[in-house]
Amino acid sequence: MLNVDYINPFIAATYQALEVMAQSRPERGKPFVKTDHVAKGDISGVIGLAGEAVGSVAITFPASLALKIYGLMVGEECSDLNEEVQDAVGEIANMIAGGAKATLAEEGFSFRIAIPSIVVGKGHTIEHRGPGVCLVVPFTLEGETFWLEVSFASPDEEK
Amino acid sequence: MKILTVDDSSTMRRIIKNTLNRLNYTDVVEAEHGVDALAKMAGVELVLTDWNMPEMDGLTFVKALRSNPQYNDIPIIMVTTEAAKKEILEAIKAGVTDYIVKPFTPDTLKEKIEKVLAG
Repeated sequence: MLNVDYINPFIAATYQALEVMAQSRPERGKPFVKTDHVAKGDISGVIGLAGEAVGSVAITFPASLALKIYGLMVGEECSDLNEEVQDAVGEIANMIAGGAKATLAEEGFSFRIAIPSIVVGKGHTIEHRGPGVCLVVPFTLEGETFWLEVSFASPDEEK
Repeated sequence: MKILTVDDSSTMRRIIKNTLNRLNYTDVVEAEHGVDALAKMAGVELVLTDWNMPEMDGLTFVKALRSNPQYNDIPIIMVTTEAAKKEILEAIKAGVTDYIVKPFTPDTLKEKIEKVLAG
């Protein structure tokens, strides 16, 4: 099971990362449980989490939105999902994991975050770590949808 | 003033460099990790460093600078996603002058730089 207390810090960190870095506030949609490994977006930043709680977090964007966010973050345009855009998506994933880590640490869940990995391509898959179910939270930003995926649980919550 | 920005993210280095340029700090050197940074320290008067990096992380890099008499007093600002109190205290203990949590606004970066340089 995924404890709802675990997901909220990731949602808050997503708002924070996008609001500050892209100067645009996303709107959250209705979360759902992921039943397969296929990402809805074209580019994903994925970070493993390990420690007193284990799992992974991914942020996945359609290509057009990733390019838009890159432009808002850096102030420069990119026309494809090149290394620069991939790096920016990894950095957003890093900020989300880092923000959630700080909040959860105050609640007694200490964990480490790994260096982000990036997956690109339509219909790519994301293999989440740990025993928890994967919850997907859709957000709308600049008229497009992106998705936060969180699979996170205490080791003793193993299915 | 020569400023060294150390981050494995090229995006973050670019954001920091662009912000510094807008603040009229135009002599900015970039490094991808601590090992790279140690090789580029000549003439540097201010260091901005990430924490989580390959090869040599930011904390190890800060300790290396503080153990070298040549760089013992140089202002160092850690710019990182590590936002838990425990990590911030660990960085201060290692010798950072100030600390910025990502994500940050250009105003925050400006305020911190002015603060440490007034120091």
